[in-house]
Parts: sequence; C-alpha cells; structure tokens
Amino acid sequence: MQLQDKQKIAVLSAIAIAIHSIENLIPMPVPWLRLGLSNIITLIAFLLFGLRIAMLITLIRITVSSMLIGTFPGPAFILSLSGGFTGLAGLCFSSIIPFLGITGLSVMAALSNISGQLIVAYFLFIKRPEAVLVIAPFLILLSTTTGTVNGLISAGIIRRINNKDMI
Amino acid sequence: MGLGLNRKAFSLLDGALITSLLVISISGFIFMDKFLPDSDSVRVEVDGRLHGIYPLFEDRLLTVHGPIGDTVIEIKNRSVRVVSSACPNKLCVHQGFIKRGSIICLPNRVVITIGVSSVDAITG
Repeated sequence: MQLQDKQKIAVLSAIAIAIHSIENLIPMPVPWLRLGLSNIITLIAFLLFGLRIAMLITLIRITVSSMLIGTFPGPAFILSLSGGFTGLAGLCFSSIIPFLGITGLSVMAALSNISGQLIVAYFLFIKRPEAVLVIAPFLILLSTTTGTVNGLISAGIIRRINNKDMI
Repeated sequence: MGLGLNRKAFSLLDGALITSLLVISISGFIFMDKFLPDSDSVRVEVDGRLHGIYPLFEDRLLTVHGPIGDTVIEIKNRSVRVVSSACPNKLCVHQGFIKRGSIICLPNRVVITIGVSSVDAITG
C-alpha cells in the first residue's frame, strides 16, 4: 500500500466517522431509521479511488463509530456492517452498467445496503417472513429517497473536486 | 481509478430506476393487505400452550378449558369474541367482537390473536 493511499484512507475515514457519529444525534421518528449520510464518503471514495480503498474506509468507519456510539458488538453493529458491505458489493456490480449516473449508483447501493441488512436481520433476529414482507415497501421507499439525496450530494462534491483538480 | 470522472450526475436511467422503485414501493403499501392472506387465522393459546389455529372465515363456536374453567369463543363474520368465560371480571367478554389484535383473558390464561403482530418484531 502506498503512503498516499494511507493518507486518503485516514482522511476519508475520519470524515466518515464524524458524519456517522453526528448523524446518530439527529432525532428520528423511528429509532433504527438512519439517513446514511456517511455513505456519501463511501460513494466518493469508490468512484475516485476504487473498491479497495472504499472497503477499508467502510470497515474503519463502521467499527470506530459504533465504538463511539456504544453499539459495538451488538445487533446494530452487525446490521450496520453487513449493510455497509452489501451496499458496497451492490455499488461494485452496478458500476458495470454503463448508462447509470452517480445518483443511480447511489440508489443501487442504498437498496443493496438495506437488502443486506434485512437478510441478516431475518436470519439472526426476526425469522418471520411476513414481517419482512410488511416492512419491505417502507424500506424500498426510504432507501430510494436517501439514495437519491446522497447521490446528488456526492455528484455535486465530485464535480467540484474535478473542477478544482484537487486529486 | 477515476471511475466517477466520466459519469453523469443524473442520467435518464437513474430517473427510470428511481421512478420504478417509487412505483413498486407505493403499490406495495396499497396492495399490502392482499399479500398477507396468513392473517386470516385465529390463534388460541391456553396456559402458554397453543390450543389451535382456526380460519377466520369459517364461523364456529369452540370451548377451551383453562385453569379456572371453560372459555367459549365464537368466530363469526371474520371477527372473534369471547361468549362466556369462567373468569371473575369478564373483561374478555366485554371486549366484544374484534377484527384484529387480540383478546387476552388473564385469569383463565387464554390468549386469542388474529393473525400475527408482525411490525412489533422489527420495531421491538
């Protein structure tokens, strides 16, 4: 691993941890509902630096911020981690599709994130198929919305980075 | 490297993807009742043990034997009630017909549930 890569990972992880932890303080109507704003960093890292760096940032971000929040080895951490990695896998697969824009990639990542979490939750905690069926439309609506918002923000950030030629 | 540099912020395909997902989820909300035929059943538990699961659409009268006596349950017109009970306060009888949720008779340890309370499994 190059020193430059390490610096990128450190800086991006720090930003992602900060976003993830601060987001946790925002009150939500339902406790397990999250905006997933830290996925913006994952998306940008994937688009600019590739899968390997994005994966490391996701792992560091989820582990460290769940330690900060206090959910570290519990179910919330397991769900968060599985969601993070299935989201990244979904992002990687959908990046093969040529005409998908950054917003579309973000929506695909959000969908795979929530599907991964739902599958893990089903096998570990819920074990009731009808519960998954009831919650599915709500989760699709939610992840589509947050995915779109995150995608548009990421696209804006990437455009600015390109214009200023910062990399 | 640089995968994102030649991608549009928002393409036509993105719009199509988001629109179709919104349509899927909203129609999911609307047709939810039709996807859940399993809630057409009545589950009767006595003293912590399952007594039986009965279809909601078949009218019937059944008697279960609890620790302090008999409880008579009636299923009629897709709803359930307790007709008579051996319990002292008769709260279960006063609850009348229910179409969803549950009737719980604590003294006689009888629990009648329509369908399954599935949302609680996730929020809880």
